[in-house]
Amino acid sequence: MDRLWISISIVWYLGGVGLALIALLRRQPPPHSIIFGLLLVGFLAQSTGLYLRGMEVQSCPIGNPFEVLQFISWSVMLLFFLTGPMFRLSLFGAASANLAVCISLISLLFPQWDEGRRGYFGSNPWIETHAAIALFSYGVFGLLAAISVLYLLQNHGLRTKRFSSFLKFFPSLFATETVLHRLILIAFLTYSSAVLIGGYYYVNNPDAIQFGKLSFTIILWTGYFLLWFLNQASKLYAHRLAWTCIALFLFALLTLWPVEVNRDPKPQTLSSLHSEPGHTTSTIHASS
Amino acid sequence: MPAADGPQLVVIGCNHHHTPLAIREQIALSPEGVEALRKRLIEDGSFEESLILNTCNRVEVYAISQSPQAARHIYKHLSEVNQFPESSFREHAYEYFQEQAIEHLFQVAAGLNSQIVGETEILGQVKAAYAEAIDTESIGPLLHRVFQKAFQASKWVRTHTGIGVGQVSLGNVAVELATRIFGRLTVARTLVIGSGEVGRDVAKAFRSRGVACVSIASRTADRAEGLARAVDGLIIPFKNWKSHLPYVDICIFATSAPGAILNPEEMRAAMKQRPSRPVFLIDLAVPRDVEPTVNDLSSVFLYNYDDLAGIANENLRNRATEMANCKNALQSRSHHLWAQMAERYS
Repeated sequence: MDRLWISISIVWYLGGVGLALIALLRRQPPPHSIIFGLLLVGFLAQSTGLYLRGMEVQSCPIGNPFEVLQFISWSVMLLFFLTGPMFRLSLFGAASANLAVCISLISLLFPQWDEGRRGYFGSNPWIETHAAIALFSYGVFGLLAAISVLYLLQNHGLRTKRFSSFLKFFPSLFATETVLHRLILIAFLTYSSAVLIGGYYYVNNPDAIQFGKLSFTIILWTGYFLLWFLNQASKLYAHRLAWTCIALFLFALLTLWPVEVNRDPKPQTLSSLHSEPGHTTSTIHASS
Repeated sequence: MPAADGPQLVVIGCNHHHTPLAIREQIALSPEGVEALRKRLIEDGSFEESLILNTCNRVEVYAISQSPQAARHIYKHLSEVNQFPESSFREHAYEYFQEQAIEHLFQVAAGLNSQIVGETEILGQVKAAYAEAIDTESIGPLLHRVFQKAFQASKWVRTHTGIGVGQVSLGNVAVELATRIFGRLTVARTLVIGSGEVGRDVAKAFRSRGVACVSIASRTADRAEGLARAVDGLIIPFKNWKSHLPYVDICIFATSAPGAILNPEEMRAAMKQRPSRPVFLIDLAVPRDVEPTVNDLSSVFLYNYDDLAGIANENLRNRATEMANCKNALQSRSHHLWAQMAERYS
């Protein structure tokens, strides 16, 4: 049932993206209110799907690759609904939904990613919070990359002196860069929070530390710290900033792979977790 | 006139259709150059009548001569005044005789030959060139008649065809581009360097879209004051304009300087004070005021006259039929005039 709700959400998201695309191809301004409505319904469907999964596993549903990707996709849309009305960036919703759809479709394309282990983090609230926030920050990273794509397309159009009426509906460079500037701070703060919470947990459970995961976490955190710092100091901006956001997001996605490989491959159930009260290892998610 | 052994109407020139901007800015005549060329044409003795049309996009000489060498003489004088190699000039120039020369003038006056097809400014420029020729007594009955008919033909085209419909002005194009860079223009500060006609129109377009502040720097004080009144702007001393560069978002260049007045080093220095804020440079001058390599700098968007005109003409394809109708009508009119003149002056 949860997968059905998630599939339904993709349809609604695709509706929003498709409507924006059709409007752009017709050289007409995208109908923002209708798109917002479609995305909202999609978001509610996705939230329902994740809620059902969460109820099933009695924890935040971030236990397997399918759930991880779904959580990131949901985070992207949640962030859009939280910040969209404030940023008022043209095509922000379409770009967010586009990213969410891509991530969701990838997660659905591989059924084996949702087999076996489900809902993993019920054993310790600290590590579960840490993982959930870390994955939420992946959503922010994704949104940064999606907005960077909008920036680069507009920048390319202006540099090549193309006056496509398609691009006139894209957000201005100045507005896009302002949103990037704010989102970088949000990304850095959320990821730092996840690292801090994870750090607190690991200090109390030094045996749980995995070198690979820790290394990726440090590298990724340093990457976003430098991104924030250099942008703040006006040393990294314009197209270089956009490319860096995309590169860092791709790197962040890549870090998911070694994290998954390092996991305990044994499928676990809620009952098995309850029967092993000391179990705390191999459950940390993403590069957290 | 138009008998084979009678006086010949000839036009020689170069424009944006045949000549790239980099060459055009070398061929462009300064006001002093126009005077020098006019003097040469009068003193040459080969020309009974002559008229020079010099705009930012074209240099043309219309002449009536009995000499079969008339064209060669015009090439020679143009090259010498410009100090531009005659052979290179010939490579980029066009020449029309008799009926084709009339047809060409009709198309020029009607705006069909303009960089922004259908624009009306060219008619004013042709009229100004005609008035100058009258003042200097360099034209006679033949060119008088041809130019008067050209003005009538231009008026007819604008009244009876849709060539001006759907036309996009340079100002609107520039404003649209600025919106893609800055979003709301109410926060953008604008500086106008020089006070040329085109720059003036673009500055007005920005003002009408509510840019935050318009500053004007011009060598000519009275023109600067006129523009300042028109756009409710502030005048800054021309010698100080570069110090304002780091604080403006949109900069419109429209001077008649003989060469570039802004190079990449100066722009880089200005950008250091505003590294993350983009700047939009609109260079409407010919010769260009801004070195093209300035566009390579990060966050700097440089558009020249050709770039804006190219964008403005993007909808030209939709007006192809209308243009063809106009050209046919003008061809018929020029043929009619030519037949009348042939009868009267042969």
